[in-house]
Amino acid sequence: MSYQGRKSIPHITSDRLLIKGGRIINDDQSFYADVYLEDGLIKQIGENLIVPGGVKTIEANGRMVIPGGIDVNTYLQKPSQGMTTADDFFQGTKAALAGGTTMIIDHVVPEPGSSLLTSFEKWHEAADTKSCCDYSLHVDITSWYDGVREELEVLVQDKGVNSFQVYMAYKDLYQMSDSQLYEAFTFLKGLGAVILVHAENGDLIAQEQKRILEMGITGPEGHALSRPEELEAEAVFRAITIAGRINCPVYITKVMSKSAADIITLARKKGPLVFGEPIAASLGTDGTHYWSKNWAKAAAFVTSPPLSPDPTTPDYLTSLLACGDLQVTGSGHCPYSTAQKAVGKDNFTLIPEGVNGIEERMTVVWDKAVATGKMDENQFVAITSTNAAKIFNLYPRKGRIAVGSDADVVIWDPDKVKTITAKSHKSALEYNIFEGMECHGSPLVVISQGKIVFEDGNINVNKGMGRFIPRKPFPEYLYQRVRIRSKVSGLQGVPRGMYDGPVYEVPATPKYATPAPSAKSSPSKHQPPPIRNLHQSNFSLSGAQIDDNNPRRTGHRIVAPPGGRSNITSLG
Amino acid sequence: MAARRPQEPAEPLPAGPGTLGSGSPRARPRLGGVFRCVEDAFENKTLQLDASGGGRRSPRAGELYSGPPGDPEGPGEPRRDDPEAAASLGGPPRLTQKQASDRLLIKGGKIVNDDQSFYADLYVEDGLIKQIGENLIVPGGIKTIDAHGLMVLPGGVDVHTRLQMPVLGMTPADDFCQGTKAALAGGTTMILDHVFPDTGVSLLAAYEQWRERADSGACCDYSLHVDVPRWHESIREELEALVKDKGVNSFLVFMAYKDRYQCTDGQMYEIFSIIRDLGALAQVHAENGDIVEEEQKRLLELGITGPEGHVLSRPEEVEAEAVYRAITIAKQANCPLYVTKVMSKGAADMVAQAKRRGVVVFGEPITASLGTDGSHYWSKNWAKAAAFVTSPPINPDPTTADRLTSLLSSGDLQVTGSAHCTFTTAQKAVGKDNFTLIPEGTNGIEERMSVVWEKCVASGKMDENEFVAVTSTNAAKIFNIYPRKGRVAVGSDADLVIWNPRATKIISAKSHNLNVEYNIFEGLECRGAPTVVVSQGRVVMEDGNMFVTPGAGRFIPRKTFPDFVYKRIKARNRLAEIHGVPRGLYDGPVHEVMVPAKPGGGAQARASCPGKISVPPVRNLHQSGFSLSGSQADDHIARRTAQKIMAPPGGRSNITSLS
Repeated sequence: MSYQGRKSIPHITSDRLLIKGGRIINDDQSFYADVYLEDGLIKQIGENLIVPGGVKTIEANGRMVIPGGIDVNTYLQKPSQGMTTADDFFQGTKAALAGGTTMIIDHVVPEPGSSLLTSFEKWHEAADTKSCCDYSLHVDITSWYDGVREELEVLVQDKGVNSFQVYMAYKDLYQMSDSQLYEAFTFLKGLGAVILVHAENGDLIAQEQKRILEMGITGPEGHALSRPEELEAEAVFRAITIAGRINCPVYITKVMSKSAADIITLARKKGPLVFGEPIAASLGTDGTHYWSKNWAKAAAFVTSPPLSPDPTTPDYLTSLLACGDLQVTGSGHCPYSTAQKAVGKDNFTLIPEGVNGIEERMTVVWDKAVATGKMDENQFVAITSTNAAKIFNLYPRKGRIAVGSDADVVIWDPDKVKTITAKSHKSALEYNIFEGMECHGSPLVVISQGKIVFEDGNINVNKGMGRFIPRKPFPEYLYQRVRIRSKVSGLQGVPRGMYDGPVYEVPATPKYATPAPSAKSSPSKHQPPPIRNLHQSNFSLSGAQIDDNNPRRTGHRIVAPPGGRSNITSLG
Repeated sequence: MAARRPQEPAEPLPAGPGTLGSGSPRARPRLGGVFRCVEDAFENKTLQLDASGGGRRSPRAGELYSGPPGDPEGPGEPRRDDPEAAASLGGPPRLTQKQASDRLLIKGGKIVNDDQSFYADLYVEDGLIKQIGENLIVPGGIKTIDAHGLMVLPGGVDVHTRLQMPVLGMTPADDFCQGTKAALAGGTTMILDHVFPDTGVSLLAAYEQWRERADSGACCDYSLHVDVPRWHESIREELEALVKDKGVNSFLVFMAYKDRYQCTDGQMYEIFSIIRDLGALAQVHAENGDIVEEEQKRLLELGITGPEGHVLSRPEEVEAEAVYRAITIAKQANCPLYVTKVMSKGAADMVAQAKRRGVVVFGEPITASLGTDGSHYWSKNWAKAAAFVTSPPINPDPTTADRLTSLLSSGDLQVTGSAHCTFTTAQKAVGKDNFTLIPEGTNGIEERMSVVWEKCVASGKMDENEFVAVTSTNAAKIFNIYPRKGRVAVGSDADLVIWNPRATKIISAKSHNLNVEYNIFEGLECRGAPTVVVSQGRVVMEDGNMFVTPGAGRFIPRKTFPDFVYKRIKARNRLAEIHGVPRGLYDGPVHEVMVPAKPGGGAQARASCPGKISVPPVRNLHQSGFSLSGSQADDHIARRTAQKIMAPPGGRSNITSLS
């Protein structure tokens, strides 16, 4: 027994709860104190608390009391070729709670052709009826269509969504061009949203897939071969460059490889606001399994970007998490059963993508990072919960044990050893990509909304008890800096006198009508001829011209007398 | 072949005593002509003058290697090739006519190659270097140049010029005649110009246009890169024709100029794959055109219309991003990559890092990025600011030049070009109200050698040998004209520069050989300048006087698969073969995929996969009798998104254990 309490009150509907003798871990400090929870909130923290009689008491015996984990990346309802994920909101959040995660942020993936708002409502409804823990929603912008701006505004202002994902991969499906990214980033910055990027170069992936299929490679190894880590790193770099131009924060989902992580690290040192999210899979396992002789096993690892075949990747990513170059951990949980994965048994491009990890995330991170001495317990709290809460503007409601915060609390046992296996996990899947991994550290008691939902391996939840947590735009953690940068980096032109030298006459022949379409967009194109140009002849553009049949002029037709070397040519 | 003067390859020389001081480089084999790549050119490139002891060599022969390269000239020696001085030194007393002379003796100079420097005389005949050594036996009455105290370098190779680039219907102020004249004046004896096919002109036709103009105008040898501004289906045939019949082995693609020349990543991958198969070199103009265009829009909306908008809309990050992307694509396609116009630290660092990761990539800074900086875009003088407009822009960071020269010295960047593409101020003024219309390009063809010397050698960053490497030899190797060009050796073309490291020259529009009325390096003081320039064995510049003949320049065709570049690529191609995993057939249950009501939606990404409509696996014992043959209810749907395979609910079969 991990606690002693008023026996025989098995009901979990108690709204009052006292955690005694625990060591409270926040991202900044640890201290011993009791915690009193009531009405789903943390009401008191301290010694010798005055609490009503008869409340349920959990004796923590010096164990760690940490803020519940926040899983920033789940796909519990993602459609893929007409299939939906094996774990729905109920199964998925149940698994999350069992692993010590008390809040998830799920991705709304609108099918091409359906609007963001409708899809959001669909997800909202499904999650409201099924979710067992608090949740919030990212919305993926799967296409940049007319009217998307209005919908985004509604989502941000009325629906409590402050994060949107754009795709640089999935050519002809979700992929956006650089121009669209620029436009989307600019617009989302104006809304104060967090911009999530799925970073892979979709053009090159399409080429590689074609090539690899032509070579006759159809198994899951083709998935990894067609998405080498360079393509991930390239896209990360491009996303950061675009964001840097616009001066907006950018958040890279699923950092799966060393080179992608390096790009983020380097960029952060140069100034752009970049955040990186490795997932449980990239921290806990590697991509060598794509070459497994067992098709089902190999297919189980298929996710995008793929797990890096380099076995030293998890270690490297963990180190970057420890030093703060990467900030949050997600799970990318998007499980498909083996039968579903088998849709792509003759063509790896058809294998639905996604791995499990929602339940294992906290444990894997603890085992890889804290149990190895790379980070301390405070940093653990930061990367599993607090940073996510700050970035997505949930802080301090979530991500901290403090008076007034939500009573999402985990009592963590750092010494407990658990072996991850498909036999005992909560997910509906028949496999687990972490199968056989022995992990130090796991939750003893999980409290969500002030209720004990997990205790001694028993899960005790009701469908639909999870609440939607709306999020406000302009999270301070990101936008404070953005605001100041915008202020100091205003652009100014150079005040100059008018150029009054000779101007070459550009022939407006139809032949050159096309080389200058870039001028189409320039507003100053149809400018009146400069009125103060004293060299100008009386040639006029008004009235019918001989070349009026040409649709567009490529340049100004300005005739200047051959002025010889005028004063403007001295470059002193 | 456009060579107008067929050349005899040097006779194979016996390696024993009695050779004229030159056991190497080996004579080129007759077969295949002079343009053939010399097989062992890189193995034995050190001149072994003392390997042929005795013979006609003077007692002084031992001194040949005595001094380190940095011990050039004693005081009091004659500084210039004064004819009287030359005569008094024992050379043949009579000089023949300068222009007509096909024979030339250069005496007493220090010959500088990329690997070593040594003192030797040099005899030139028929446009080739015939002999190198001491006490050469030469015919009487030939012109002699006294190079005591001076250096004899291989003539510069300018890898990037645009002497015929059409912009908005304008052509550059310096055409082939004027441009190559300026090149020769600056010590550059060969240029590689970019063929830019205008809208509606095929690559081949554009190539012929360029050949025609250059053949009649160029004063020095030239070769051509071809730009690929548009992707089309028959691109492979065109590139193949250019490579196989026209002597072109380098093609440039644009990542900038959206909606005009810009290639998508997918197109670049395909072009790179073709280029790799053909054994050519992929060049990129690396800037992210999408971002540039958006930034241009934004700046114009802000009311910034002057030349400073040009640099503001094309920041360094955008260049670095494109370089990185190009490198990624080239790595995927296993194609050698050459980044033209490396203008910023960020881009240069990308190239350097990629080299460290093993990518075959070359970077070319240009005269402008080495010799000046982009702070001038903010000049109050519009004409001056506009003169600097080129793409990618010259970086406003004044320390950029310093970093680029350091990377050149360390070998992270390999070649220098000029990107010479000049427009007069009147032409530039077309964009006086809109910076996006300013024709792009700066001068540099004439200044390149002096600027590199001043910034790199005079500052102590590199030695004279490295100078030769970055201005000439590396370019010759990359573009497969080595050792014909880029080396002072027996059998090489007689493109030589007699370089005076002590000369001081102030660059000015007043004295340059260009048609433009400005010079972006105005006032820059350069130590180091050519005294005499020899092109095709003729003196074309001497003491500031030019003796050029328009049309004298020959087209130098270039063969494919340059060893310097492709040896590694070939080895990697062999290594990079990938294999699938041999597996038994998956025999577990398969989820039945519903054909979505909206076809084409979810399946577009797969439309390009050839393996999409694969046959149902015949050996699947679990398969039901459901068949896809015959007409189906959904035949009106154009494409199936997935196979419709029914499998009985098999429960947890053995395939699900992941041990």
